[in-house]
Amino acid sequence: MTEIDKNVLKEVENNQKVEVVVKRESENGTAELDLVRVFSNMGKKKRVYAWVLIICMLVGLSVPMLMAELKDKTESVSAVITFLYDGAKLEQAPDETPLDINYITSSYILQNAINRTCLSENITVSSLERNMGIERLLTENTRQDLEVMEKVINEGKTGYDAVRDVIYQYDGKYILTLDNGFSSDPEAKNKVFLKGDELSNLLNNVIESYNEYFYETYMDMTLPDNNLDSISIEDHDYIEKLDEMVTMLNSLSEYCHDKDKEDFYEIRSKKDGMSFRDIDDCIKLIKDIDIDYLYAYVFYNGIAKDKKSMMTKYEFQLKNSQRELNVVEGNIKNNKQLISEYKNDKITISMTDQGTTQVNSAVTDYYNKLIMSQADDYVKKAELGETIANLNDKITGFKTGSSSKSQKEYVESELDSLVNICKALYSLTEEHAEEIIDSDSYKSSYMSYIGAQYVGESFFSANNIKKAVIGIVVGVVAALAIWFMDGFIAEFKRGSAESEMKKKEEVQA
Amino acid sequence: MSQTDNKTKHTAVTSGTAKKQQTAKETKKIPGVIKLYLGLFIIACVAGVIISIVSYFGKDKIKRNASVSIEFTYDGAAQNKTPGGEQFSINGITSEHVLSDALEIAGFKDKYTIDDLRSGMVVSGVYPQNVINRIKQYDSLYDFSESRTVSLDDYYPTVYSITLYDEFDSSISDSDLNKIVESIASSYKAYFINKYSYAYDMTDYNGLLKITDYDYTQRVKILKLRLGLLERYSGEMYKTNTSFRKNGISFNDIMLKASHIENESLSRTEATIITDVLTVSSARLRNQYEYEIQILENEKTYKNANLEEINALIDSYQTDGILYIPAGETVVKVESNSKETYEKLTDKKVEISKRLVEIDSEIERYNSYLEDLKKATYTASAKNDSIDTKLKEIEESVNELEKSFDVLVKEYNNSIVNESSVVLTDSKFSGAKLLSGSFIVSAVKRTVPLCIIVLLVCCIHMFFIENRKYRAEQKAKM
Repeated sequence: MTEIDKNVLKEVENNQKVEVVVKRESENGTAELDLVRVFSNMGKKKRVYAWVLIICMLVGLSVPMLMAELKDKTESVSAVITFLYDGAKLEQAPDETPLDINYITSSYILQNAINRTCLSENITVSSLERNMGIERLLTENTRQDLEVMEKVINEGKTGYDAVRDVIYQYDGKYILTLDNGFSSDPEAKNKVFLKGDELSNLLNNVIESYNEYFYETYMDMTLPDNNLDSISIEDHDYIEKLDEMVTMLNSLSEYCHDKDKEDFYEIRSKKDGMSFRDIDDCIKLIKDIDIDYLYAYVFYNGIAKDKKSMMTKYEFQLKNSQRELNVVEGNIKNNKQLISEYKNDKITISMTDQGTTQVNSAVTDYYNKLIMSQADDYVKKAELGETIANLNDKITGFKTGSSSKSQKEYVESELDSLVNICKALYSLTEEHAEEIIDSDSYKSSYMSYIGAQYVGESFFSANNIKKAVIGIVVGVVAALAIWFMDGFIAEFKRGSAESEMKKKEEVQA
Repeated sequence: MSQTDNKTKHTAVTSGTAKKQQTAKETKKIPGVIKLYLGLFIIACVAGVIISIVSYFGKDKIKRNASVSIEFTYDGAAQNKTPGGEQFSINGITSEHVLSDALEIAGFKDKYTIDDLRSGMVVSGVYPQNVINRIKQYDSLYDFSESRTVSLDDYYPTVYSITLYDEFDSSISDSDLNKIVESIASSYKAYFINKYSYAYDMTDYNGLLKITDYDYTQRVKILKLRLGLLERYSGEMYKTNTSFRKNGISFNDIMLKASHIENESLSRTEATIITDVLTVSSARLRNQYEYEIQILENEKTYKNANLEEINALIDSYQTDGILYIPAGETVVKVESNSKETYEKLTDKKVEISKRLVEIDSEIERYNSYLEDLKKATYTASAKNDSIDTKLKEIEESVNELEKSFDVLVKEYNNSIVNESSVVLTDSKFSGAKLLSGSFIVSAVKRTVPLCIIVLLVCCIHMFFIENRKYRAEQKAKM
């Protein structure tokens, strides 16, 4: 045993600590590296390395921070559209035709949106369309059902049949997403980026122009034609004028209680408190006490400016109606024959185990159609019959009635005031409709939306914080490694210096 | 070897102290190096600031803008409803009315147009964080933990922010921009308060229905309509706020009074008119009744025929029996469309029969009126006069009731929709300024990492210098 070994052992006895000794066979003899001394070396330099540790941690923190700052942020904004009318959940438009939500990315809407937004860069319609996405939201129930079904399938449980029929129900909600980074070529590297609020403003304007398109298409607030001025034409006779007024008031009343406008039926004007419903009641009353009242007088007494031409006119109408009636009656007769001769399909059912057969007749669609058209024809016949009877009465009235000059004058003055009343009613309805169109609720009755929100990672998001922590840890590990290496190298040098010295001693000795 | 050990220890110690001495010496020398490091450090800081200035005014430039917040505090704002219960939309703020008033208040009416303002205005609602993700969320049945993100069905903002950018005039001063946006907000507030006020003004309609032009039965109809409209409106107002009272009157009182007039005085008057056959012009009345009867009789004849035909059709309709076919363990019912057709036919039949019943009752009514008319004797001018006055009295009371309803509604406006329903904040200006918060944040974000890296490089450099010196020392000793 060499002296070195003896000394080592002595130290072991004295200090009772276990040492790890590294032996290395080298040309210069063995060199021993003492791990404890490595650590003590490290300890000596701990002040230096405390600073190194801190700096490495800071570097580890700042590198991901810088990277996050400098990285190409592809941000995106999202908005939610909710359709408010009834058919939306069944994917119908307000007039019950299928709703095509993809129209929101049509060039008309997008070009409108681009025109409205002040953008610092030029965005083309095609690049905008490429960056837009639409997502439909299922209802909560459907999603819960799907979740259950997935679990059942995944766990291979039975009872699959029970959950098999998940009905996909939609909520009438759509999520629109717009990504930043526009280019006309999807592979292009140079993308145009919008800054600041421009991206969200653009998406909001897309929704705005879609909303406008929507209510322009599906909401029709145009009033019926105002033909009241043409009533004042001298050519028309009294009853004709009255007929025209009746038609106009009827269409005005229908306008008020139109089913498409039922959202606005009860909305009250902020000026006079009337709603379409109230206006409708007024129209009906005026028709009753004014128009019908005069109509009765003229009709029953056969008052006309020019009896002969009135009679001719009504006789002409009578002939027309009669002809129509003949056609309808012919149809009815034909149908009757068809129906009585029609043989319905026979269904033969054989039940094999009992060996019996059964024959039943089934009603076909064609037969049903025949029956329904017959019923409609009957109604038409009744209506025509009424019209003809009334025309006959009118003609009789003209024949027998004697319209004196005073009666005519009375009727004329009444007619003038009636025309004025109708005109006033029309303009009151028009004002009300204009007020509704101007109101906020008009433009927001079909859809509401949550404006564009930035959906992306904030600077302090979990992801970024994770990266920062990793950076710090890496820094700490690096610092410790350097520290250890430093101590190790010192010890190594010491070891090799020792062996050098030993060699010299040996040489000397 | 302990000696060598001691020696090495000693040398270690001495070299340590020597090193310390050396470092002491070096610290006196180091100032030169430290100056270099400080210089580098300052350069890094300055570089960072310059880079952020360049990008702040170049790539990331924020446009100058002034913004104001509007908050709605009335009931129903959170459900996107107006005070009247209709759908609300903030779009009124870009209407001509509001913007032209705003320009006038701010004094820029001749300088800028409404379209100028519209091009620079951005109106957006203030939403809670993460609102889109919360709407996408659904309550999972399996993952029902307390820390889950709560899902949202819908969210309607009650706070809106109005931002005005200097798009329309980049030379406009900061204070002017602020002034304009503040006047837009206050003009919108006035517009809002005015717009959602209620009123009740029947003058236009009453003008069309001048009572004195009509016969008594017609006058009764007019008064009935007016009372009916009043009842309906006051009923609606009562429903929205059952507790509102002013001067001891509530909406319910008006509604009850209106129905009282209708059911008591008006219907009594109507009864008198009918039984006593009071009329301004009996000839016209007779015309009216006879005309109506004639038309109705025509309708009746043809509808009767129609009914018979439909009945025959229904009888002749061959329906099929209900059929069951066995299929496996169950039975399947076979149906065709006959049920639907049968129902349609029956519906038609019911419609016609109903109308016939109506016609019959009306014909009866007119006939009885006609009979009374024929029997009546016309010395009843005194009765006519008394009915005239009675009707006038009722009309007066209806007029008064309408007026008091109008007053009550206006009071209601003042209490529900008033100055406190819309809250405005002061305007806030933000633009690319060197001392603005956002610039400072972005400058820090850029400078700090740069400085840290420079620091590290300096430390590593210092470390190597020291190491080299140390080794040189060691070599010198050896």
